[in-house]
Amino acid sequence: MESGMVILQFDNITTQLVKALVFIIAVGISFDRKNVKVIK
Amino acid sequence: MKKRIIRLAGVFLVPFALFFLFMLLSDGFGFQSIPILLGQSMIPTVIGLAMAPIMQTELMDFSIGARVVFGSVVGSVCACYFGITGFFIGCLVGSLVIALILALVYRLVKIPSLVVSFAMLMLTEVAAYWLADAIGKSYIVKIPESIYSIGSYPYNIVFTVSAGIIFYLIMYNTKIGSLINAVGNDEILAINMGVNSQNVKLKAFLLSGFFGSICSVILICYSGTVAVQTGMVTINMVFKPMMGVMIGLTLLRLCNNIPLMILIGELCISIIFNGLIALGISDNFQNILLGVFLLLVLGISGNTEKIREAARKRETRRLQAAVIPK
Repeated sequence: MESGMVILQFDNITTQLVKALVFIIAVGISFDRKNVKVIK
Repeated sequence: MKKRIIRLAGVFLVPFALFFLFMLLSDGFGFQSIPILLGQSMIPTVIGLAMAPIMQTELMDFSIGARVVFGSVVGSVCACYFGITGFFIGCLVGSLVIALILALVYRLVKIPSLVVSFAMLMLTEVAAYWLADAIGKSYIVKIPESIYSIGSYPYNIVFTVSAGIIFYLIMYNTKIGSLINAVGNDEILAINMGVNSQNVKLKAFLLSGFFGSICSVILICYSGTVAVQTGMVTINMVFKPMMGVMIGLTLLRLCNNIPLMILIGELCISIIFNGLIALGISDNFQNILLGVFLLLVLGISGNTEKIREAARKRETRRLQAAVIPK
């Protein structure tokens, strides 16, 4: 992803935006909600 | 009663003791440093007040720095069009909107607040950058002197004290204050008793947004400018207030007044770091000390029960040894 953004010549701001969105989507998909009683 | 007075005196003696210690160690540190210490403690104190409702519900929030900067940028934009009223409303709306989005994302996506706050930190930095870029093509956002003079030293103390009083009234005299404490102490128990913990957390985030807006005002009024930064730089604004809040929450056993304890905690931090600067200690070493101090504060405040239990056992053994003849 890092390399792809460099190739696509994303600036720092767009890179940060994409990283934030990917981060939250990745954790949102992979987080195991069933085995957690209370999400802190 | 006597014990309580001794405890209170002990709490208030800590910043004085630190101040006189550094005064003895360094020639450049003295009574002339008091305005600087007070002025520098105000922003971390209000950030601490903004972090406290969230931390009391056992959540973590590292986005407060970015939210505060975003509030300042929105306030300065509104100040251009609507003057001083627009400035205050802009700071309030800017900070509240981000806090609301943070709370809604946490609630809807159902992932840990730490993750949401990191993502929101990055997104808010980007939003502040775009806004600053749109209005002036600059990383430095300025407001006129007529506006920033109302929130600069010593008036920032008035803002901080007002924020502290509002915080005290909300946390000790309202239902939501009690519910925040209840959810923080044992969320499952609170849910079983019929408390809607998600609503309480949402309100805690909104409270954080409100105090964040006061900090936005103080931040931009401190020098009349605010620098819009990206690359998660605004996270640096969180560490010192977090230490102050941890110290404050630890001191709560001695005096049950959160805003006052946070102020004392932040004053201690401010005295320590200004004292280190007066002693000529390098920036790198200060960062090392900051890290060590943060670990110590978090370690002690997170293990107070264990420490107390160990002290109780030691005392019991000592009493047993005194009673049982050898």
